[in-house]
Amino acid sequence: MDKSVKINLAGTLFQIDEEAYHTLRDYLQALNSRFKNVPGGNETIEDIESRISEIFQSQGGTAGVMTKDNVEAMIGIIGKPEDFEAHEQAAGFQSETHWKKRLYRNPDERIISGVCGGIGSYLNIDPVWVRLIFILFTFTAGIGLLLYIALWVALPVAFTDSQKRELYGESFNYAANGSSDPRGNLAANNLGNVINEIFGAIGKFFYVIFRIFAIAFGVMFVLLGFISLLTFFFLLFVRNQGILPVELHGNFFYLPDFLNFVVNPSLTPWICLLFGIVIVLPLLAIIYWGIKMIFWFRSRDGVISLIALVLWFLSLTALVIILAGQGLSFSQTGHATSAIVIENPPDTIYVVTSRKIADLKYNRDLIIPDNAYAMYANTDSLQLSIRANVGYETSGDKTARVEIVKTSLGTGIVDASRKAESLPYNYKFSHDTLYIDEYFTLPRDRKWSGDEIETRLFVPDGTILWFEKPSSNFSLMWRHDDGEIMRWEPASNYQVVTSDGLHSSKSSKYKK
Amino acid sequence: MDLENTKAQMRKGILEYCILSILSGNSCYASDIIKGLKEGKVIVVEGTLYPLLTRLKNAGLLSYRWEESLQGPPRKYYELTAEGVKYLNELDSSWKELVESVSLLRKK
Repeated sequence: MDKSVKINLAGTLFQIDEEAYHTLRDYLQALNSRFKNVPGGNETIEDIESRISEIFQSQGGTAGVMTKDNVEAMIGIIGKPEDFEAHEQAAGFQSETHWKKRLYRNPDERIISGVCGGIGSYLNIDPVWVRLIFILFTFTAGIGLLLYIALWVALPVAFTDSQKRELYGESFNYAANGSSDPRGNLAANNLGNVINEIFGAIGKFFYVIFRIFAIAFGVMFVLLGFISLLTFFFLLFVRNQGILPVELHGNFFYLPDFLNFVVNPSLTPWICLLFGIVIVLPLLAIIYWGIKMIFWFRSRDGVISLIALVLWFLSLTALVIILAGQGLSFSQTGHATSAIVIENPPDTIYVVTSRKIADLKYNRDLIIPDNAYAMYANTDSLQLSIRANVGYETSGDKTARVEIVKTSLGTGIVDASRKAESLPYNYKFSHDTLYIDEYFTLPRDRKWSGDEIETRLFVPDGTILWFEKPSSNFSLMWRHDDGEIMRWEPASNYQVVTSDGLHSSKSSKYKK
Repeated sequence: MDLENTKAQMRKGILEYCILSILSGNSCYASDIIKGLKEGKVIVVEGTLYPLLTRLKNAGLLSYRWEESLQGPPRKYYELTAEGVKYLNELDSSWKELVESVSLLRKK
């Protein structure tokens, strides 16, 4: 024999000549057909294979080529399946073992998922009647369908012989199971066959519909996941402007830089990493689910999913702990208000800005969409400036006053108010002119905590306001009497304050 | 009357008892059990043992652990479970009864 084959027996490779191979193959096939329908049969076959491997190794080792003599000697030791004696019948283990009946989905009687087949096998009736009952109950407010789906989800599939034994109970016939068609005995039952075929077709139809939906959802998930992932990476790591819509102003790219002003700068990389995990893991999961829905495969992903879930949860916890440790609790809002009463209000009030954003030295800006909030950071001098707002209201009588409202967030109202009070802001009212700054800069030892400053002018109805044109997105807010704040850009410098809002005015009543 | 068949039936009846006895107090790998059974002339071919081991294990009388082997694949080392020990004790007393009954009958 010059031809030889490589075979793998219980994890060991053997070189075996062709004649010996045929003998061995026949022997293994005989073993297989002897044990495949016995409970635990596969294990027995594995045990015997590993014994064969051992005998082969003791005979010639893996170096030499196994011959027919070797194989026959091995068979002599282990014996032929028919020499194993019929202990199954004699020992009577099966009938002594208590088999609990259990409901499974039956893959051998499957049309959609094997739920009805399983119930049929369990009750020892033709599944066709179970299907009819389910269909019938589907017409009563869909109970049948709901119950079906619930069972589909809840019931495991009877894959192994022992599971099938539990499903069928005493009526289970090992020999009849497997290759032969369990529905063969229904051949005489024509009605049953016809209905089964109809159900088969309906089942296939629903399966196709279901798959189409699953694929559509899967594609959606994958796309959603990928787009979100890409956006996230562009936002944080690729500091390239112009990809995002104009509203975002391209400024979110500097988020990590701004983080330095919120927490201890040495923690920024860690926070970015943890934040990345918290965001990226769910996106990866969504993409994976999508792919799974599209290709509909089974996988042992339980352990990995669990690890990912634990990792995600730990990251989130760590993030919360780090941020809380940085005193980053924004649960309470605190205000600090100071007011200037304007004696003998003039007809025209001039609003002039002293320190202008246009003159501010900064290299990073972050403007929240809709211009509601703007921050300007200088990463060299480590200073953070925040735009101040200005608003107007009618005072309702003949009095006029200016209120400077400083707002900060903190762990408690006292903490927040103290923070608000410490915000530096220059303002002055002199004669008929209000001097304010367009921005304020946080003290160097102070971290950002949602700080805001708004100047509110309360003037009598009909007062004319003159504004210096804002140097850069200087926000002008007008507060309605119902408290709603609206952003408003002046069309001309002169405005008349009325209870309906601000109106353009050609000129001041008096010359300045 | 076929003498060989009667002998085979008798052997078959005590095969499980023999396996449990060999495993009593120590854990063995399949070949050790086979050696014991062959010495006692209870089995002829090794193949008889494997399905029996599987069945005893599935009945909860035996358990096994894997052990690496220097030559060949990892080996299953079988040992009696608590249930197996109880089972063996019952077989022991039933065996004693059998022997007593037979010897009693023989004396008559």
